[in-house]
Amino acid sequence: MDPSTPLTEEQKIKVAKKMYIAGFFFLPWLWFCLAIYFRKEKNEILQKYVKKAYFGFFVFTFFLLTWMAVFLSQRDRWGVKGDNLSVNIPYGDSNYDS
Amino acid sequence: MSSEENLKIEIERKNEKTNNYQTFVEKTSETEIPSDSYSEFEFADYVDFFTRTTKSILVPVALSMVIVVFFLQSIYLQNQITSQEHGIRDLTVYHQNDSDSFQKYFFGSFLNAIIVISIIFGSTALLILFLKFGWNKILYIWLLLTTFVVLTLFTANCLLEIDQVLNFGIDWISFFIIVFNFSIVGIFVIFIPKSKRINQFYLICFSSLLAIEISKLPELTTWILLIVLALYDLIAVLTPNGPLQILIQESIKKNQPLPSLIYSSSLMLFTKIKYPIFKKPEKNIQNIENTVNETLSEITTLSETDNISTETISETDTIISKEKEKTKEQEKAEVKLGVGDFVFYSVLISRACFYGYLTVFTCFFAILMGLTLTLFLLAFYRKILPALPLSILIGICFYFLTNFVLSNFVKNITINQFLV
Repeated sequence: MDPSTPLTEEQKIKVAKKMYIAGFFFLPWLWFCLAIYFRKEKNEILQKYVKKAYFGFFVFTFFLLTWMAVFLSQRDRWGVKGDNLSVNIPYGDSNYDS
Repeated sequence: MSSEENLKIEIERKNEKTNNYQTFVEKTSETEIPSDSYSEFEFADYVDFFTRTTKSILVPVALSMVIVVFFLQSIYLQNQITSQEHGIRDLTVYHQNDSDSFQKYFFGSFLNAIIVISIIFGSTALLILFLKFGWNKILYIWLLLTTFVVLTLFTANCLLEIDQVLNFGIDWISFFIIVFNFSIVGIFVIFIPKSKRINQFYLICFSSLLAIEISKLPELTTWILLIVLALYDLIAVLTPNGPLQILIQESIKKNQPLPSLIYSSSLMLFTKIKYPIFKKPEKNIQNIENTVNETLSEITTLSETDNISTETISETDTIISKEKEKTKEQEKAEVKLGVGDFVFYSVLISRACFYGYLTVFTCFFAILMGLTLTLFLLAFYRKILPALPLSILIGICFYFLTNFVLSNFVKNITINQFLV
């Protein structure tokens, strides 16, 4: 369970590939961790994975943030659907109903 | 210091075999070490090791405590719904009514604490059983499940509370994505550790989350739990046939590291001991000295580097082969502290923060003081030591002292405006 001894190049490529593929299952944070962990590597293949991971992370968080912004502002107008989707309904007046 | 003498003799032998160009006469004249200068270097090495390890262990403990206090003060105490907890209060059989006598209250809280401790004791017993039968996979699955539960359900609980207090509506989709990300990456990082920093970050988060949940127990139950745990830790680690010694013996027998959650802060120690007589100190010598400085503090993994100081002189070939393996790896000295210690330190300080900020600061310093004392004893004894009892006993003393003495003192000073 300890942080192990430094990995060899082949192991690093395997690990990077696994992390990259696993990140496609809605895991942008995993991509970010990949990019941060391998950012000082000089290997070309690893640098390619790092660039792809940065790109994927930014794209995914862009979509996630736009969805969150849309939801937060338009939740009132959606009526029942908005209430079903939301975790908790904040108290206070809403701009839509008043 | 027979281990040190063994080391010196090993170093000589190694030198003989590897330095072909140095003559035997030169070496024998160089190997007479005056005892005074050796003890000087030894002391400097102890002090160096001690100061570096204290910093590397105090900072994460302080961080986890600060996270717990911050969360509880800002979120949990603002929340109106504190009496309808369904988390860990389901474990308690006794709930306090105002009309109960003190004896009944005390006995009921004691019962609650015994339940939690029996869970801990039962899980160590199960761990020993699984190790003896060699079912390592079940152990890993069990640990995986606990980390999964803590990292998903407890974060979800905390995020829900944050939502209620900060009053922003979040939808299930983004909530799920955030919690899912956090927990899955946490499981990967804790069990397939690649990077030191993210591993440490996730272990601190794990211990904070667990501490936040355990601190929702009623008050007297937590105090009794902490005291009994401190005593149990003392007994379990230091008795020769206690559960910890059995676990370590099993792991030595099977030559496998124990699967457990341990925070390890590894330092690259390039020692300042250069025996002035060896004119060409090689990397191998420094590696040997690094291995002497490795210490253990609770349930830990035993690596090969620990055994070097106790190896006999006759096995020179095995010594050299093992050292050659080590020169490929980077030698490091580590201090390991179990995650359970983090959890119960944070539980103590969360109990202090329910009273007020004064107790938070005093108990914070008390816990760190206890931890430095344990580290000092560790550098002195070089055995596995229990990290809980000293800190918890000092912390509890400081808590009750501040409650009954310091808070009245500060109140009277402010009322009478003695220190304007």
